[in-house]
Amino acid sequence: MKPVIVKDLHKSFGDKEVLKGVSFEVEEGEIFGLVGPNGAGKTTTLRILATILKPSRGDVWIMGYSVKDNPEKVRENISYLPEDAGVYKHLTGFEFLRMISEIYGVGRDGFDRGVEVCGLGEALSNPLSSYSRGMKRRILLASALMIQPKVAILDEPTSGLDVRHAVYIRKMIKKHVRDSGSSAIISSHNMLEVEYLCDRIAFIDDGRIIAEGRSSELKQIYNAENLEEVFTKIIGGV
Amino acid sequence: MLKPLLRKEVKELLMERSILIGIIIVPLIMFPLIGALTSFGMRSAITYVAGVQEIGFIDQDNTDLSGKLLPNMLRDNGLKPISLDCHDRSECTRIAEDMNLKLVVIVPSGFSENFTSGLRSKVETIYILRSLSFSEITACEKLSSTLMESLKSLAEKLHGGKLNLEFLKHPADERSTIIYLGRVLRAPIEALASMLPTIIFGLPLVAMMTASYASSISATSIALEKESKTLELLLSLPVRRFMILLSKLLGTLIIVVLGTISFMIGFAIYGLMITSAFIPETNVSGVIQTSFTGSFITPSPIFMAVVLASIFLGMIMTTCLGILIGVLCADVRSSQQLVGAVVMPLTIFPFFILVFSSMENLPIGVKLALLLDPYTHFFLAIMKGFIGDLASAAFSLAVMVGATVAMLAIGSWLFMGERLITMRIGFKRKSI
Repeated sequence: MKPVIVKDLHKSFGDKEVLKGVSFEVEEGEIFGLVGPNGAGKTTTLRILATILKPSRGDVWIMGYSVKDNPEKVRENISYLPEDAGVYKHLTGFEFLRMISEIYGVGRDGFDRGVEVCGLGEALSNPLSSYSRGMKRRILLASALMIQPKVAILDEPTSGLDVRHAVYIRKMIKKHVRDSGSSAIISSHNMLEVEYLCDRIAFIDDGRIIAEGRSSELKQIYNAENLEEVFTKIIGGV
Repeated sequence: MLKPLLRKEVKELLMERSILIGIIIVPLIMFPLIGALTSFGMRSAITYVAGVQEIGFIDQDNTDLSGKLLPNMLRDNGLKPISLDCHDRSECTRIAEDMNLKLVVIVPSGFSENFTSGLRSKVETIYILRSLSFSEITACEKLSSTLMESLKSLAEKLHGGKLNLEFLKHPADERSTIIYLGRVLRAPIEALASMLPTIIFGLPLVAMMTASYASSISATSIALEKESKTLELLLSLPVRRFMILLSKLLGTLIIVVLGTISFMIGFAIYGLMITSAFIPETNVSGVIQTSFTGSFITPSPIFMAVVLASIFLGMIMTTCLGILIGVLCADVRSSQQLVGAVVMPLTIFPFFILVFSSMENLPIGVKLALLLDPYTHFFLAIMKGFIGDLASAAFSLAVMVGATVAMLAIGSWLFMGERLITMRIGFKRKSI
């Protein structure tokens, strides 16, 4: 069973159709990258995968459960890191990780894993309001990975972070997928990040997947030196 | 599953300074302040110029002074004394009620002997209130002052400048009894006039402020999730949406309960101040003040229970309303503005209409509109509880429960789908 099957996904907000038939599949142990310009439909797709939005048409199956029919079962199998997600400013890092571990029922092991993944040490005793942007992103990533989800959905995981934090987060994502054998779907604007992290990539534009494959395949098909060039050739420059 | 979410809610809300100040500290300060001001107001009741009115007159002294001179003086001051033929107070009161009189003056035996000797005399007065409105009490207050003016004029007429000024200034003490719906208060009418606005209107107003704060808290708790971008994370957790809604409601209610406890403490201090305001004391502003205990003004346990039930239900109701508002708004500022835009009219209109008028006097359309507003019942429950009309108070409380359940149902419906993410009401400033 493929962990993620997205089939003919449509989503409209009022008269505006944001997704116009998105389809892709993610294999077990695979990191799948969703790449595209702003407003292409990346976040909407990931929100539907995370059961926050409902598809207007089409469906998504995660670990065999439909996001339409079994959103609660889907949520038991995923973790979701929204783009630009905030934190509960009055909770300490420890309290936040404990809340997540209790909700997912992963116990002390899960909590310890969270502490290890975020690597924030003594800062975990401090309120989250005192954390830098990078530290907040690290603890949010830890909360997403500590529960060992079957599918981690990570929307722009390193967006706006300095190199130090970005590198740390990429390493943690890769380590999690390698160690757990689970899958991850990542959206990103950073082509270097996508190339480093993702086993397969889908380019999305105007609500449609317009190219999909391994990084090497795409570069070969589009006769490009890197993914940025592929992006420019597929989607076009400004 | 609920426990960690609830713990998070309570901690997040409790750590908000604005919540602490509004829901706990403000009532603790405001109620004692209202109690102190009411107590002060009662001690310094002011006499106003009297108007023209029929009054009941009972002469138990049977002298020319009490039977002719005093009635004439009352007429000169614009009052029309009507002699009542009755044997005891209850009969006199009943006759006066039948004749629609607001005041009965009883001149006790020995009045003339003291008065002609230049000694301070006593008159007894019975004020019969038909409502606790401003106009009713003001009218009685004017009658009281006209009576005292008449007695002074009579003293000047009899004695001229021969006697001491103290007697001319206060020729008689008024021993007042106020009757409202068969209940008795032994206190000067001026005192009631000064304290009534505080009890009837100040109390619900402060209570309403406290309750309204609940809507602000609950709206903030959801709007804050949107603004700080934690909502998506929350919604992706493997918990049912209803559980999230429940944690929001319970989290807010815990804060609200703290607010109610704070309210109770403040209210208890207020009650103590009111009760102890009238220690038996004579010759204060020419009147005799008597104990307040056991009167209809003293906050009775049932009244306290009705007030607390109203406050608590009002808080739950406004919490649910706040949840609805929070769902609709994009950020905290918008939610606060929408809370103000929705809660203020819902509370201010019934409040002012009930202060300056009564439901009975309103046109049917306005009356119906008011009765559809659940906050009208919030005020009505307190007012009806105050006058001991428990059936009406219970009805108003039941309406509040119904409104709360309806709002909760709508809130649950909004929480179930993706409306929580997609609904957005913003209050943005127009750029120039």
